Amino acid sequence: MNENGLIILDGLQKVYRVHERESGATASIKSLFKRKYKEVHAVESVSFTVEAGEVVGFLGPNGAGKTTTLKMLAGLLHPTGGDATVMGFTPWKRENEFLRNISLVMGNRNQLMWDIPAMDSFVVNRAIYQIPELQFKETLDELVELLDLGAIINKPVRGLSLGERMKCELAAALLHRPRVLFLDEPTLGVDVTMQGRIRQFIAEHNRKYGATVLLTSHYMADVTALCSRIIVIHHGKLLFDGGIADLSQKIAPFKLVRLDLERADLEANLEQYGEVTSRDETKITLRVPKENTSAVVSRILTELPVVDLTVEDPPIEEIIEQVFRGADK
Amino acid sequence: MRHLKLLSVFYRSSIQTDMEYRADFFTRIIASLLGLLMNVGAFSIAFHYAGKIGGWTFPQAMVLLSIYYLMDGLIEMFIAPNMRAVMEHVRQGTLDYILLKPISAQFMSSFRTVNIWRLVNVLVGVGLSFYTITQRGLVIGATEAFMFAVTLACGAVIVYSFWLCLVTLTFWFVKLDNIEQIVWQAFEAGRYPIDVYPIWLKNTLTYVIPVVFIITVPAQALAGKLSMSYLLVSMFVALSTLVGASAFWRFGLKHYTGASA
Repeated sequence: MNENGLIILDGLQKVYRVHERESGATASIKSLFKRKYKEVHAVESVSFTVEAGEVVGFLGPNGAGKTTTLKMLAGLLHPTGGDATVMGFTPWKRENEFLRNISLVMGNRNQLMWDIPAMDSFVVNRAIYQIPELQFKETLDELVELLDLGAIINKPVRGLSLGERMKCELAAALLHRPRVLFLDEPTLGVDVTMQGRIRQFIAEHNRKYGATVLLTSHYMADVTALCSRIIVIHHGKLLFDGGIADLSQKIAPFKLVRLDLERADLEANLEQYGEVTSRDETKITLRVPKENTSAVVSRILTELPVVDLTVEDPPIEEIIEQVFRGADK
Repeated sequence: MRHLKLLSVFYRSSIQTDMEYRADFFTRIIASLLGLLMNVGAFSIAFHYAGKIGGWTFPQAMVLLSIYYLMDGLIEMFIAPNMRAVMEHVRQGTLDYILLKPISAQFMSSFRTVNIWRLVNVLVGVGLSFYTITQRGLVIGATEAFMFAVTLACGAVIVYSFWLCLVTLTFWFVKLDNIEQIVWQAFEAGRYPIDVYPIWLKNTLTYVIPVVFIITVPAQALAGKLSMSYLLVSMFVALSTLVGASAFWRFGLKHYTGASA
């Protein structure tokens, strides 16, 4: 294990005890007095290291343990087992010096005050983080410019759109210039244009301040645009840790061959060339093992009435999908 | 010093929020005056038939009522909105944002907001006690004023501690809407002279839930009926409930961060 990492997880584990509820009135009355508990292993022995200044994408389906891991790293949850350090601190001791240098943004929860303008929430944060006046002004000006907040920070938050609110949430989280930024679904529910803006901004912030970013998202585009490295977890276990290119190398050693044929009423068995993943009239997509690609393509060209043929890498979504399916088996 | 500055920032932003809801101000005035009328009415009827109740005369009971108003206003202004907010934060998961801040979570949870419109109740309380006192031609000396201020503060601390303990329970049970009822029921009991209750209830209200220190003791201090030793007892009770409640809060928080999803 690298001892110099900024964020180090060593066998981090979280087990929840949740009570089991049976359906029916009798059962629910019984559960008022006596509850059955079962253990949910949200995170099971996850280890990885993140260097200062890295932007790492944290992927996994719902319930994979992403948020639980982020919460442990931000000091909101005590782990059941294992250890972690962030900037040399043990997060769940929640020392002020640690908290002053991190930020956690949760796409589905607001920290801004609902009834008054975001600017007033910023002022409260300035007092809490003891940000010097000059630095506050400087950072704020910059955030206003980069996130295009000029017209919205003086309106009551309740009147803002979801995207506008998210931009203000990001600004509120960055005013104290955190060295480590945890983003949990920062683009949740935000439209595509705004997603792009937010992505651009996060990249910019990372470049400028060298902040380390750990990001979870459902939108693969967030991850491919921002992260040079991805970590995939599923059922609380680490499945993959590496570059995006490596992921397709290691997990998806196949290419997609897209065909457009002259006629739809073909008798030839297409399965002999590769796995048919989609078929719509004359348009066919085949999944072909990487090492056979050139041989298969030349066979197709001689044996089938091809109008058009392209060979491409599978999209990252499909690769991840395959990882999860493989893990479930 | 730093906390005073934070307090002023917190209260300023919170007052701004209240200003967004001006209608609340007017309904508050009406509600306060109506309540006052009912209470004074009920008291004067009761005292019309019995010259003294539990050793308290009508004007003394009015002092008690005015302290009840004053304390009710202080609780609704400073304590209740914060305690309600914590319960809401636990349910919505936004307590996380308080825990993420580099300041004491107890401080931020307890002083984040102020409900400025409840100042109406405080003023009604002050006005009523002022009126009753001048009616009787009483002069409040410096000692009484001091003892009153101290016992009133102690009363507020006791209410805060009691409520904080109950709020801490939400870390385990998440949804406990009826908690507030417990606080208010106990508090309501203090509106009447403590001596009217049967001895077992009187003892409960003194030693188990120290309600006497919330209204009766400050009222006695104002009427010049409080001994110095009772002042010290009041301070001791306030301090120990505060220490106990804070410890329980920290314990609860540990459980919260250990178990919440």
